[in-house]
Amino acid sequence: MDKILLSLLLVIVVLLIILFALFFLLVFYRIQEVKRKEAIGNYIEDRQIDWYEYLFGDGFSHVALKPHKNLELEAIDELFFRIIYNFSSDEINDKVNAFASLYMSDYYSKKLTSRSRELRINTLNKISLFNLQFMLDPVSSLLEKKKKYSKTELLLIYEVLGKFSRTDFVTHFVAPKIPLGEFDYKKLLMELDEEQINLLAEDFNVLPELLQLTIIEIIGVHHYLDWLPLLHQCLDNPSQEIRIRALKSIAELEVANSLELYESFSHSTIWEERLMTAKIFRFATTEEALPILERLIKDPNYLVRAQAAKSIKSLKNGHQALYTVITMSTDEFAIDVAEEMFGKEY
Amino acid sequence: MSMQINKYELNILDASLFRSLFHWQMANTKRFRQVFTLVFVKSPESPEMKQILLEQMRTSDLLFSFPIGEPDIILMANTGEDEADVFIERLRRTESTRSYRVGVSVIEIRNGDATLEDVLQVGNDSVNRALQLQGDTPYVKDRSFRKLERQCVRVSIIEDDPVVTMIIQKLVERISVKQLDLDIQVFRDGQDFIESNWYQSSHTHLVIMNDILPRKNGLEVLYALRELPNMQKYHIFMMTKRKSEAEMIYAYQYGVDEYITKPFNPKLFESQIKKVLRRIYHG
Repeated sequence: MDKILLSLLLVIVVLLIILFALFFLLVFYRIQEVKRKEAIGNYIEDRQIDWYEYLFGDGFSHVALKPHKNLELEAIDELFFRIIYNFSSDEINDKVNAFASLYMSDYYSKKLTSRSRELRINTLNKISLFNLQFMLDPVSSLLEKKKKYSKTELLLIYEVLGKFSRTDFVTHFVAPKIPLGEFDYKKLLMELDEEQINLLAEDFNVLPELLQLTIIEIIGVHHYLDWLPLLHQCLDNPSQEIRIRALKSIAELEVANSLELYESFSHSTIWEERLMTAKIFRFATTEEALPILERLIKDPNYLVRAQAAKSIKSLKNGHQALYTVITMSTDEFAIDVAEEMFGKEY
Repeated sequence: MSMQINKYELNILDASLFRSLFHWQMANTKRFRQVFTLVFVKSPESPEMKQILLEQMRTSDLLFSFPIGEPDIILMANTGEDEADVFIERLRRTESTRSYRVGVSVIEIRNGDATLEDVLQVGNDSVNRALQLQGDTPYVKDRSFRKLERQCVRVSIIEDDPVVTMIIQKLVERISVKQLDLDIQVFRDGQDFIESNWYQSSHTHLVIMNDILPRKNGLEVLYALRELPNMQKYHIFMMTKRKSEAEMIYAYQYGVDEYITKPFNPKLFESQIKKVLRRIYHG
């Protein structure tokens, strides 16, 4: 009995020792962390004026700011974040890039290959935020590794590639390592300039459908008029979604120069296509648009009718045309929607 | 027996009252930066001339009748020299009804440090100068007192990040606007600012603040300042990370003068501040 009690006591003592050891280890780490943060804070406080002179002034040399230890690198990294989050100019961007390429290249490269996923994500975010173009190669090389990266990391890697490489990004966008959703593509493509979009859309027909849809949408959002022929080509696509998106982008481009092409969609059995056609005809001349819109204002779908009424209103003499619908039409739904355009004042 | 008061009688005052009213007007100019104009009129002494002047003046103007040989003075409160042109034009239309010349001198006063003696001296000299010119209603505009005195503008920076505060402070210090001295004070949050009596002074205030702040945020500070009776003297810059148009419209509706979206270009920021300071300088 005594032997059992003694063993139990021993186990308890050992457990207590382990718990105390763990507690002291945690306290030690916490103290280290607090000291590290304090040292970073002290560095920022001591050198913030010099950094201001370097980034916002003229003629202050970066040599005086050369970091000598890892802690200073961390402090500079934090300082960059706080400044770039609030201020932005080509001058600041160039100076941050010049300094980081000289003294911080190893610091960021090391963090990119860290075992901690959070650290890697943070670093990728900062590379993108600080516009660190010299980090393009280390970031590209991540994709050549066998290591499995999370979707967040891959998206950030693609974002950096899209931002800093003029051509290399195309292969990765067309065949990503993981399937990307439409929202992901939209996020990536919004950052590209017109030249990059041109490059990406060169072989439009072989692209994955989600990428095609996003490109069509971006053409409309950014008003890339040169791509109108591509949108026209999409109108013959067997995919219903591609046709609808193409019509939507054409409406956003605010041109109506191939009306006969769009007119056939006003007879479509798909209401979204009729809706977009009504939207496109806003920009046509009254003579050309009115016969189509007067038919669409009687459409069985409310949204199509409402858009047709809105489009008629925006035409030259459109108000008059709507009054005519209100007074002459025999279709009660058309009259209703026309009245709505005038806030039910009749 | 009822006593009838001529509608113009209330607008004509004795010269002895001019000193007191001038000093009162100067106090307003100094404190509230109110501009006023004095019109010196020299003509032969006749009750008919006084009547002509009274008829051409606005009801808010006061005519001080001075002894023979000295010019009469019309005080136009809250009026710049351009508005006084209307009076001169109306006076010129009376040329056909009178046979004598009337010399006029217009002096706009913006400088709160001008003295009565200086103003009278300049007024007398300029009206005599006017009479040497051609025409039945010759006039001159003297601009000796248009120049503003040096003015101190209080700048409050309300931001919780000390690095950003320091940079904004340095950027503001870099700005120089003629005749304006900037007195800068920084606050860590809206509560600090509201609890201080820094913003309660009679100075013109430029408030540069973040919209998100600990304790009291930017919008709360904005409401507090716009509730004050003399709210026009606060020029408010709001910095924000949010890019929603609805929020911007909301902030403008509640009286923000400029809305700056972060991250912003420091040179653009300087230009915006400079624009507001120039507006303050020119009243």
